[in-house]
Amino acid sequence: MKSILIKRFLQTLVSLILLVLFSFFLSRVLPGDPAKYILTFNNSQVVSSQEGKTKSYERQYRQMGLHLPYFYFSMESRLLPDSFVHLPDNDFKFLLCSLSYYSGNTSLSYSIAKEFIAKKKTNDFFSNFQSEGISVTVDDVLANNNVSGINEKLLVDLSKLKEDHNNHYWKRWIPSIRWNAKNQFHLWCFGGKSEGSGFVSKGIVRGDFGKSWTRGGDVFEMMKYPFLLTLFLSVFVLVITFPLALLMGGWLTLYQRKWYAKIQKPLLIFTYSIPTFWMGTALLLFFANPRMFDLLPTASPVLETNSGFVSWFFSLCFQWKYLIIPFFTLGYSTLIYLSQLVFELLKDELKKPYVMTLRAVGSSERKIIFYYSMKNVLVPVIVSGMSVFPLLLGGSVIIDFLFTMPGMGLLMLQACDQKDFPIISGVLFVSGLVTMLSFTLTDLFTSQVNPLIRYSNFKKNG
Amino acid sequence: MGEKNYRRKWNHWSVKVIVFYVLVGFLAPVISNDLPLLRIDQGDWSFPFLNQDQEYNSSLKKKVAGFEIYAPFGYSSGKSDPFNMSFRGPLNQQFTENEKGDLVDIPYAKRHWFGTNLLGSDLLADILYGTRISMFIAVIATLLASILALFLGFLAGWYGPGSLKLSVVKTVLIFLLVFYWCHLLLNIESRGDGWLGWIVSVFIFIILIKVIGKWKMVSSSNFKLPIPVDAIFLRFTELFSAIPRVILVLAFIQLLSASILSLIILLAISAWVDLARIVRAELQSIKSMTYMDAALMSGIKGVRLLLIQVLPNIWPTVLVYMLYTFAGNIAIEAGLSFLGFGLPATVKTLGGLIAEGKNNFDAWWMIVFPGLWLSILIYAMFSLSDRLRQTEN
Amino acid sequence: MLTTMKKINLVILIQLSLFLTLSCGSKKKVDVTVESGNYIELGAPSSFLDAWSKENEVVIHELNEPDNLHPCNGTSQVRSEMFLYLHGSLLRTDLRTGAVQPGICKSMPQISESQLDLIFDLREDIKWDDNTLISPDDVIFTIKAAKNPGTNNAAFKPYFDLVEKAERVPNSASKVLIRMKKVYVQNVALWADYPIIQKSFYDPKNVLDQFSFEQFNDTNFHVDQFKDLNEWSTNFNSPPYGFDPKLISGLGPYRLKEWQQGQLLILEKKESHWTDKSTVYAEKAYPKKLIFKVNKDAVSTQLAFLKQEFDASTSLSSRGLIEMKGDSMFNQNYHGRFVDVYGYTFIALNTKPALSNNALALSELEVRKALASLTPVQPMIDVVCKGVNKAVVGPVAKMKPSYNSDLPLILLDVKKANEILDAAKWNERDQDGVRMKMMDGKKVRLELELTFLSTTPEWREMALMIEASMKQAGVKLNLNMTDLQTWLDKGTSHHFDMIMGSWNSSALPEDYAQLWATSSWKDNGLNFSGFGNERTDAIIDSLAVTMDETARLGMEKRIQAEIYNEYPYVFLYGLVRRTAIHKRFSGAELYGERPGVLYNMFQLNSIGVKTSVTP
Repeated sequence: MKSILIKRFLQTLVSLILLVLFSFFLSRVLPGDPAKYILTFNNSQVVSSQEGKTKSYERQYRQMGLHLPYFYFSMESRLLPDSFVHLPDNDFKFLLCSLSYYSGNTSLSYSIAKEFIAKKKTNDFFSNFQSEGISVTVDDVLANNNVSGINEKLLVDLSKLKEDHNNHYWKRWIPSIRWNAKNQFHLWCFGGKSEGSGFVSKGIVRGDFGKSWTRGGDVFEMMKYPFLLTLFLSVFVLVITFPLALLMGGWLTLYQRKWYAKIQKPLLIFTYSIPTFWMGTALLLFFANPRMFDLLPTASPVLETNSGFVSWFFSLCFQWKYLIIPFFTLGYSTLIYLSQLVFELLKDELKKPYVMTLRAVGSSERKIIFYYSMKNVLVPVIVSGMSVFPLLLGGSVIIDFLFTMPGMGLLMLQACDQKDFPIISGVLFVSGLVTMLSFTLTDLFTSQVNPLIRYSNFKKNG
Repeated sequence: MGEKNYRRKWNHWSVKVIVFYVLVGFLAPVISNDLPLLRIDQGDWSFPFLNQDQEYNSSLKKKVAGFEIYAPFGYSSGKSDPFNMSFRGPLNQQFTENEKGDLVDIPYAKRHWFGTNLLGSDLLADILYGTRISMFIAVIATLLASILALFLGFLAGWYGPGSLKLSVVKTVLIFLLVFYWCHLLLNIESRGDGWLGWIVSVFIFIILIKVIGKWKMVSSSNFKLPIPVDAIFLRFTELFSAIPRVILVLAFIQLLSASILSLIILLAISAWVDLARIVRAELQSIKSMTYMDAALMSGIKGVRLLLIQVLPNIWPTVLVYMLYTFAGNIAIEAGLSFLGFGLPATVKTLGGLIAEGKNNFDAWWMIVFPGLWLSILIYAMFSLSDRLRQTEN
Repeated sequence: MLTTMKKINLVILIQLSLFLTLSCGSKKKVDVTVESGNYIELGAPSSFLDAWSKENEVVIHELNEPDNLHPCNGTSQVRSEMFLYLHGSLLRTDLRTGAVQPGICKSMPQISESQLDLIFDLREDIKWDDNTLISPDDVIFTIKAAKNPGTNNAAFKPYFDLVEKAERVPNSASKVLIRMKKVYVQNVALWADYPIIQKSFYDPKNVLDQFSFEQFNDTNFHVDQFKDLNEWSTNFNSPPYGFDPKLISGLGPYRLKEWQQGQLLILEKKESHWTDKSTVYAEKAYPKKLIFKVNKDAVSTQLAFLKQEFDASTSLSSRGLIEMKGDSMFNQNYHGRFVDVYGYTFIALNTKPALSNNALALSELEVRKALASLTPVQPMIDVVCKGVNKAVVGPVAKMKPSYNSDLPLILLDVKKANEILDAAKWNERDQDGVRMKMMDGKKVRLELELTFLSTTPEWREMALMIEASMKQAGVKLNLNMTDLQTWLDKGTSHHFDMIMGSWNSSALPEDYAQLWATSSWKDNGLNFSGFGNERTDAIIDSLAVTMDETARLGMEKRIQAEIYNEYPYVFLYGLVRRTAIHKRFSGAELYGERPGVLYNMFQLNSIGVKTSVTP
């Protein structure tokens, strides 16, 4: 037993590491430059001086720890300088990379690129280069040597660069491997700080998912209550639907020859096929509409988070009316899925020999179904029930959108709207984490229950 | 027996429904189009409907003397009917212009049977074209996901725990390759050669691995390392099944901007898990069967064995799960469009149509028709998979 | 659509308010006519229905929440609306007239003969939450905090660059002197609606006292060199000051009680506040709570209004409000009104495309002319806006005196557009029928990209209509839907062909510098299209310093004509605010000015008694 436990936990640990890597990857593969994004988002477009802009950009870049390498070791083309990943400006990086690949002369490319970028901001001639290939650019500059801003030195450097062209073409494919003790992944995962840049993190191990780009708040704090609400709804749906599905499945098996049990299947599966968002809108229009049945409110609950978890929870419970439509929208497909599963499994179970024996002995059909067979069915149903869990978490996105519930989905949608990646990867990580843990717990539970059930079957049949 | 079973299996209403949807998807421009399908003008045959953009050319719009064939429904998706703008319902009065230029009731042949949207675009045409895009996305995504799932499932099921042995050097090289890929991906934007570097690095590594593989000392058995393919596979499936699909796709669609291609890729990447697990389990159970031993004895090996012996045997199960995946893909695409994170709104999909409808309280047809249309398709998928499962047993 | 431009609106608003020419406290009034008067008073119902809620709380529907509630750093429109309830300011915009009136001052400021010194005399009844009286030090601190280079308020910095210093007036406990750098018409209006913050609350260690205005005015002054200031700035800029109810404190009658991000904001009335005794209408505070709820889903919003879950909204869609106004249940419970406001929607055309590698065709005036007559403005208004809005000819609203009435509307005329294009030698057609022309030795297709916002479906619907209309003249339009950030980036960096959006402005005299000066184009400002030449720049510059009203009107009309003749924009229609207000409240007034309604004036009707509306 113990060995199973340890093995399962080790497996979960490996999956967790994968999840951490995955979330990290998501939080770093970004279209565009996060530091620039934050600056444009938080400041208005009214221009201050170019110099001030560059400065605040570099400060922001370092504050976010973006000047560090990504991982413990980095592989970089031989032709690029050691510090390539540290460089802040994407335009500069692009130019440097192109120039180095063009010539194979790293140090010369570096100085030329630096001069180019400096000129680009003040000189119209240099501002249109990016779209064309680098060799065209070099030729262009050499040809237009009388344009203001191009000095002797630059021309000499460029012609030197041009001489080297294609001499070391193949070198760009040769990576060199470097070790980095301090890197973005380490700081993101385990925490620490980077000297001189103002970057401090506690690491996700201690629940620090970083700061939101658009709100600036602590992502963990922002996620806490929304996540609790979503978790509460999802678990509540499971807790309610589970026994209900067992009852329904059993009842359907018991009366499977009656007409209403025969038509239930197409009806239920059709309901199951209806998209969640459609169902949610329909429920609103039927049950929260003064023109139809004015039974339930349309608005979302008002939950105050300032006074702690307990009062939050109670105010949630007191506002149960607000949760009914979201609950149904989230739960109907789970109920149908599980009840059909129970029904199928019970039908199979009834074909087994021990049922014959029981019937011969004179047990009532009701008892056979709801007691003996149900026990055998329980484990696969629990496993399937838990596999629904990520669906419920995902479904919360649509629920939150439709009913403006302050859940994780709303947070996620807002973050997606504003491309707030720390929140996006945080939500992804936490929902993955919770589901993984629930999977593990189910596995442990079933491994506990399974032998017992087998044992009891053995006893009864024997 | 086989023939009869086959008939019994496929003779089901849901098959007809799915075929109908596929046909509608394929033939949407022929079923519903405002331009003539065929025009014979003084012996010249032309097919004006193939080029929807020709509206730019006013000379083509002139009346022709020759012979023209029109589609059964005379509207194209997205083109507005100026006389029936602002949500004309299927039961409302609809108008058209007669030759004198007066507004008159529309004849039955030209009625908007499903109503129109705000701009006067015919909802039926929109649904037909939307089916085309939605089906296309879902079919391609499902196929990609199935290929991925079959590949990974076969890999895991075949090698199991530890029967794949690789030399240490090769392992390290492959690991470095994967790492280098990730590294390049992370700052692909700031690289002079962009994706080219990514592709070239793969070739360089493959050549390296091959060259080193020739080296005797490295490839000798002393340096070999058992790779727990099965365990790795299981961890990955756990990872992907743990993250809710909607959230996964939502997160990654922010990285790749929303387009048909990126949506297909994301749906495929998020959908392979269940199918791959099934493939692996089936393969494991098949592996112990006698006919596999026989096949192995007769010298069939590797990929051929899998394709000839294994795939036909697990095909029925795979098909059932492919249908599930398909239904899931359609539903997720619709959900994303509903949330406003799907395809760009200029592309009509079924989910996008519902999203358009939900902003308009009174235009019930905008929600009911696309919603029912979508539900029926998903229902047919579920019924068919259910049927297949039952006949299999 | 009104709410989509949340970021830009405010910037323009401020710039506009700067141009107000009320420096001497004169009685000059901008004549605002909205329907039958300067504003609409909503009457009280004759009886109080049983189904109406008796809670003295106003539940307000919002489409967007504020970006933050930081007193300095923030740009959104909702934020500035909430500041009306949370903060006090030296002066305030009188929403009824559009003029400026004293806020926490006894009167309009005294102006020295040099026109540079403003002396504000603070009222003596105004207290902070900790019961201390407001002092000139708080005003000085507010200005210092805004001028501090370490504060992240880039949007406001240009305006505070105009301030040289602020200091106490000797021998007076209530007077504060503000010295401006130069004579400028907006020197007084700058102080309208800018929140004054408490020194002891935001700077208990008196860090900013160690630094002088001279230092902040010095361009070589770097915050990094001073540890204290750096720390204070970092702390002050930090998010809690924009989000945490405990750290948001102001002079207004309400305090932030709760902020559920993305869902709701609760403002709660302070007990025994100085505004209790106030007689000024804008300082009244009747409701106990103002609850702002965010709801983006159209269906549930409408249901909520039918069920009376919301009390007020200024951000309904035109279509939604018209639909609801046809409903007896809604009419029984709500006042639903459309109010003309001062903004307009437009399509900016990139007139200098060569510098940003965009479609060259737009550099031709003829093409821009043709595009203007190809835009189906009236059909768009009829179909998308349900005929609520009115077409505009230029950037100035019809209600303003400076509106140039000589300019005729450009109507949809496909034939004319075709003629113009033919005359401009765009005769060639490719196989799809798209027009082509040789330009600079290259064959150019008349194929353009129209960029618009994804925030509301209306933009997309209009874009589709424009696309269909342009087709008729052989102009191909590619639609590009973006989020606000990309929209702004594209506009300011001039990487676009055509860009559709809306600008909001106010009753105050129009500002032309921000949208039409060439410098604004060069500095990647809001002059997207590249409009302007020396002549127009000269007019804009002289507008900034001209005090004489009639001279100003002449110049304004001239610049409108210049804009009209250059076609840098295709002007679409004027904006309309769509409000719904529950009848259980009386005392509500609708203004053309933003925010349109002051919720603090809502008085709960006592049951069965007709309340009179006397603000």
